[in-house]
Amino acid sequence: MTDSHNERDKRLTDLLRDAAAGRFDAGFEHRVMRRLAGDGPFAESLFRSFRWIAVPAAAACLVLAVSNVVLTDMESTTVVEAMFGLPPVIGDLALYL
Amino acid sequence: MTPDCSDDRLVERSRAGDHEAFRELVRRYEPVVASTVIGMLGQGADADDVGQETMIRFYRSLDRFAGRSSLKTYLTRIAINASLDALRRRRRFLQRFWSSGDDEPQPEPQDGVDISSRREVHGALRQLTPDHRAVVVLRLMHGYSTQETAELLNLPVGTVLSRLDRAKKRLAALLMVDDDDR
Repeated sequence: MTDSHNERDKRLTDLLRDAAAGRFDAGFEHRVMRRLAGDGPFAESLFRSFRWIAVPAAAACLVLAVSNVVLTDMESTTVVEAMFGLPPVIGDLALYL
Repeated sequence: MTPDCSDDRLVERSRAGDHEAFRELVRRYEPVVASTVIGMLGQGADADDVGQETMIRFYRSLDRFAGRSSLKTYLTRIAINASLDALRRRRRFLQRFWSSGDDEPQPEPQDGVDISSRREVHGALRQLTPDHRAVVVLRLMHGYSTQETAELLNLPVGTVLSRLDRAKKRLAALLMVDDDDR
């Protein structure tokens, strides 16, 4: 181990220790105790469970809706019908159903 | 709950179901868990969640805590394992839905330390693999010895040394810490 390595290690260690976080956001102990008691707000636990799914799912829905609108011939249908991929409701179809 | 009550006494009372004693332990050891988890995951809601999970795991394992290691070491071990689990879950999820991308939350500024420096350091830490990051957090941030780091991570000492060496070189390059030998 050379002096320059020692110096580098010391500077790295100092940087890392200075950057170490001391605490979570205020109220951490309260959040832990609430979770321990199992009485956290329903929305909070739902968000915790599904946050990794909810955001991409919402993005995928948006992409699909936009692609539906873009790919549909808008002369024969409305935006809402196109967005949800619904066939245009016409008399013949209503009678058929 | 008196702040001068010993850890052993607080653990004993927590085992007996005293929630106020456990609350005092959470308050006392939040900095240990925070520095480990935020070092591994970066600042954000995910780190807070894993911090809470660490404390819940600790509560559930109170009966198994025999006092052979210090409470700080015991909690650090739980925190590092919970963080590695979270990183694995995150990686699996991202592999499923994204081919690439920045998977780590940006660190948020806190009072007391130069913000740009903190951001740079956490940004550099995120460039390391989780295995290398764990060694850096324990060995350099917490100041555990190589032997203790090896025991905490259930790794041979040689593996810790090689990971540490590679991680330090990478961090030095990323943070532009001078190394005359390069």
